[in-house]
Amino acid sequence: MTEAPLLSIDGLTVSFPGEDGPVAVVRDFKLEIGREKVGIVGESGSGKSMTARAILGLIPKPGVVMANSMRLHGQDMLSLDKTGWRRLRGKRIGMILQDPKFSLNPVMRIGDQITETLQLHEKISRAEQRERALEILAAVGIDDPQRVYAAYPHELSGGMGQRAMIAAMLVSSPDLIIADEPTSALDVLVREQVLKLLDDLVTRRGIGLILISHDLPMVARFCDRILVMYRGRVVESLDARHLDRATHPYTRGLIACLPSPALRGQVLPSLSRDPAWEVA
Amino acid sequence: MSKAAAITISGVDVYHGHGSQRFHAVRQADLTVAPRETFGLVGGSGSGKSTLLRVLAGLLSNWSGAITLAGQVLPPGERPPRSYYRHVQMVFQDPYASLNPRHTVDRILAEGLVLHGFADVEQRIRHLLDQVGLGPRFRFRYPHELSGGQRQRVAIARAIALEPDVLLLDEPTSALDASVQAEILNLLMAIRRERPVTCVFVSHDLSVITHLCDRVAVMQQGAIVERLSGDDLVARHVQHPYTRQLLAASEGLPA
Repeated sequence: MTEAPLLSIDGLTVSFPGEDGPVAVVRDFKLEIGREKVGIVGESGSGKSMTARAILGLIPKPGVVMANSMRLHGQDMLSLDKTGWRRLRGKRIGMILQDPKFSLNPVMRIGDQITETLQLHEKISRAEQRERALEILAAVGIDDPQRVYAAYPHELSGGMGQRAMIAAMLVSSPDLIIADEPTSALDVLVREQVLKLLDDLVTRRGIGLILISHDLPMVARFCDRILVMYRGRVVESLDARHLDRATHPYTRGLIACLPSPALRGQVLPSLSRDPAWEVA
Repeated sequence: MSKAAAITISGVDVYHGHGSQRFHAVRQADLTVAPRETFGLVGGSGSGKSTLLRVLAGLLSNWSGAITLAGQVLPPGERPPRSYYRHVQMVFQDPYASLNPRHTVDRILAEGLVLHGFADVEQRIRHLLDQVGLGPRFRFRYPHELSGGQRQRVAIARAIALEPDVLLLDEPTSALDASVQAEILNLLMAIRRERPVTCVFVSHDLSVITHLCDRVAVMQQGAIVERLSGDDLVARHVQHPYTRQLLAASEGLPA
């Protein structure tokens, strides 16, 4: 049986007013995602984060979002009002942002931030809420959930903070997670732990994941397929196992400019950008 | 001019905070860096690598032990004399935070030159801007008008302006896109070729470290746990389990 896609987007365009009329920061974006891991890769200004924000209904004014269609489980997202978006974000789509220091509430204990979400979605007693929160903290690989439950965000390391973020998001059992640079503030060891945790959760709970990052090799290792964005447009769509089969000169340039043992101490190729890449 | 740059660090302990809050950030570090060498300090967050770099930069004074840099003895427990900063300059990780947003590029570059009594400041600034690949049109711009890579070029220009013997680099490319990282790494290599400068490069990214460094020290929880050559890293001749973990993680393999 073929499953309907979790999320399907067609012709998504995000624009902001500029001096000479609207400037499109995302152009004609198309994606169908099921219970899989899709990476969106691009450099700063490529529109990858704006795409994520548009999917979450978080494009700030005066930005304008247009699309032929945007559906989550078949439900039309374009006609949602503020309340509708909020419900969708809380319950159906979870998000993880780059730096837990900014995305957790600094004056609230971790435990309270998790139970706050629980209270919104389920009618259970205080004791049960605490129980559930501790369970979730343990599920994201936190060894001493009691301590983290009572801790404020500043008392946690970057990796712990990111785990707490993931825990807070998992409470509402989302079907789709959008992670925007979830590991780029973390060091390599912690990065691998957080990625492994995400991988386990996504696989075990059958969640769809959109991973947004500038780190092409990391995304290639982690995801099933990759969309490469350049100046607002997807220029290449790839099977993550076959990065070497990339054909677009931008993708190939991004791979070539990475330091590697073969180029050790030598001048790295720099990326020369072709204006033609901006035209579909 | 001072004699050729080299760094000797022996028995160095660094602390953050005082009394019962005191944290032992670096434990008994011993290192020597040869003139014109590029030396890498690698480790995860909290390993003490940046702390040690800040001590060398003269930005932290709560330490004990002995440090000599470019023939200058760095006095423990106190702020080094102004002349010390002529010998050592630092480039920071975040080019968005390390430049004064209210100063033009011209003023950012001129400040150190004037402070240290350089003549021909004009000419030096023009030369510096060429050297870091920016050119004269950037001279009177403000940091907010520049991209991350351009800002990092300004930060590098500021650091080499005083013709230091030692350049300290704290994750200078980790906030940048891959293509910009390549350009900055190329720039650093060009500077190293053109000037008799010794570099200490801190990063958790082993591919960047391997690319630039002759030798590497691996730090874990404040202690140096392994010393390696760049060739060892390429050939994976590593002994310590922590170094193995770092290598595996940087390639996304299970340790």
